[in-house]
Amino acid sequence: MMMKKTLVAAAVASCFTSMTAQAVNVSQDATGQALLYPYYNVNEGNLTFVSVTNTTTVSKAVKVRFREGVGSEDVFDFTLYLSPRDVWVGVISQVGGAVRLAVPEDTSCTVPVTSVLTAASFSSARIDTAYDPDSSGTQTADEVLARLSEGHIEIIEMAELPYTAGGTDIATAITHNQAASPVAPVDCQVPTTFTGTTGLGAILDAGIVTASAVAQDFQPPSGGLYGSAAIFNAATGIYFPYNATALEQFAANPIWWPQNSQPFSAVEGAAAGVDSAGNAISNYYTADDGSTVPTAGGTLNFDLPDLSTPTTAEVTANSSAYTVYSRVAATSAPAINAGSFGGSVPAANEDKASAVTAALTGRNIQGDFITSLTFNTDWVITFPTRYTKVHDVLAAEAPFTITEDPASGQACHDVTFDYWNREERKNSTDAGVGVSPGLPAPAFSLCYEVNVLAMNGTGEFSAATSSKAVKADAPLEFEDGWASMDLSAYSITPTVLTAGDPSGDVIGLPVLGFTAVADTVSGVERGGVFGSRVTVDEQ
Amino acid sequence: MLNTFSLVGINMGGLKISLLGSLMCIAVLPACVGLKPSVEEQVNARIEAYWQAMIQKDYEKAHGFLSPGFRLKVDKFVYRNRFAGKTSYKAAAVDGLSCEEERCQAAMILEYTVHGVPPYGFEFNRTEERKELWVNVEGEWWLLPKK
Repeated sequence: MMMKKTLVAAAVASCFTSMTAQAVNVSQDATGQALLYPYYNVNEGNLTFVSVTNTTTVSKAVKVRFREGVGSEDVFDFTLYLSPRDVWVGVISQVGGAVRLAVPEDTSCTVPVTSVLTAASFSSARIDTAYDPDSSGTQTADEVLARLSEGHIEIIEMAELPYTAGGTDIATAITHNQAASPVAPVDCQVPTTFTGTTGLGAILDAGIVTASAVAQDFQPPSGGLYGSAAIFNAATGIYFPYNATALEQFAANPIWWPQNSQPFSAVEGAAAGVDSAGNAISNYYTADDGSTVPTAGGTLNFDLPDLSTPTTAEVTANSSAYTVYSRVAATSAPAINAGSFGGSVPAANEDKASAVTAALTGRNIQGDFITSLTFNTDWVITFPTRYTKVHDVLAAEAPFTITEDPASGQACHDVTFDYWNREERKNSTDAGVGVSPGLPAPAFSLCYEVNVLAMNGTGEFSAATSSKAVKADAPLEFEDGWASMDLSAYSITPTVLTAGDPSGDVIGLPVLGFTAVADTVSGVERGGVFGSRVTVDEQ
Repeated sequence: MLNTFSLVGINMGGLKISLLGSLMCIAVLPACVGLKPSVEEQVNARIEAYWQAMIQKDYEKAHGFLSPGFRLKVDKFVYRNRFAGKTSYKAAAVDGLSCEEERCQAAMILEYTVHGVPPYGFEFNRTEERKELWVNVEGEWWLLPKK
């Protein structure tokens, strides 16, 4: 039985309606525990503003992570502490041949502290040394910069930080002192003490916080975050704002981890080689471990949490507040707990990445294109969990079918791409490149984590080379009309672990995105950002 | 260095002010003594004049430095709307100029303020490295924006 749901996405906020309260799902009100921003671009003078708002009355620790658009490598991440009702805004841009974050008017606490954060550049450390998209035999600085300059963003709530009567908690330290001038958090150094190099146990021993304080300071995430981003260019005046897609019920336990590069195992404080439950550390992987094939110990503290790390319900001895995410084994097929998106509480060996993937899966992407007169159109198509299935795996995992080529960064997946003009006339020839007319369906390949599709070769991002690393051309027969991209060749089959959970394939690919229309003369004064309609119904 | 590094601006921040360059021109450059200025000198002068207009928010004057073809596509009113109320340029410097026949590429260093991007609403000061193309059309040098 195919899942039968209908979904209309406003901007990137696609909304699945049949998810239960316990399952990770796309929020219908655009607030949640995890926020997904499908696109940033800092090429050709573009600035990308990004914000997150805490709508709740409780302080929160969140992970902010920028991923480049080719293969979704982590290029910049930090921990942000939001006090109640707090807003954080940052701006990324190219500065002197690097990509940098600026935080011009925000005092929210971060780890590392903001002055350190803004002095650092986006990192190419995890971009494969084999990456050589022009096959020149040499990886150039421009190729790396291009890869760092486009991508997507994920912000994940790690824990709530409740106040305690004594006022010695993190929440008190990060809350803005309204009596101060200028208004600023009480003490942003407090959360930085968690970045010690010898693990949480040593931090506790040092008396910086007490064990009971750890339990009091980290409570399960509750959601209530929303976010937005905007791409602006000072030379052209273009301005593309959009809302982030929010995931609810992402985690039932605190998933806070220190913002340091210590091996994941160091946190546990358990015997060497095993976690506190006696499980071998060699079973712990994420897609971010920086190796072609996941290796034991590759996961570092700052990698956690992310969308790639399947859940195993490990509870440490330190407190009941910690849940460890692990990838069960590199050679094992992922077991998808239907409960993760079907109704019951996630159990051991839940494939978290597949749960998020299923929640984001759409069967069709539909939207307008307008390239007549002075208009241009780009479609931004992002697969936020694709890398967990094609990157650093021994074999591609469903719903994806092709592994990433480290040299090109590509894992090209063919999709059917049909379009019509406004008088019902359908494309007569294939929309794809190199496919002969007369085949049943025109094929088109989407090769990257983020894809910028230039409709008729136009597009504010694509036409002026501001999209460099992830651009694809879509030559069309009509200047204006609408198009439908069929992703139904792909599916993921959940394993039913709990009686009564829904069964059957989830058809399609996990996708977010938007349509960016601009007037080539007046910028976006007669353009804007329009939601791509993502459906899960058979069309 | 001064012949390839001209500066204009009001609040130069960390950039050097090169009115000195103009003064030196009086004394030493060929154009000052009646010789035809070099291509680089011609383009540098156009760049300086264009960016003076931009910094002074005289967008109609700045529009006059754009290539004839681009001006047909983007009129002065539309051009003004790209910047007015959105971005204030503060300083401009040429960090390099490379010319071949009828085309010169200028490596610019620009300082500007973005006056709030909704919904964030704060001013953002920035220094940007930007490459600009100047083309010769019928004996005059014109700026050809990428879009």
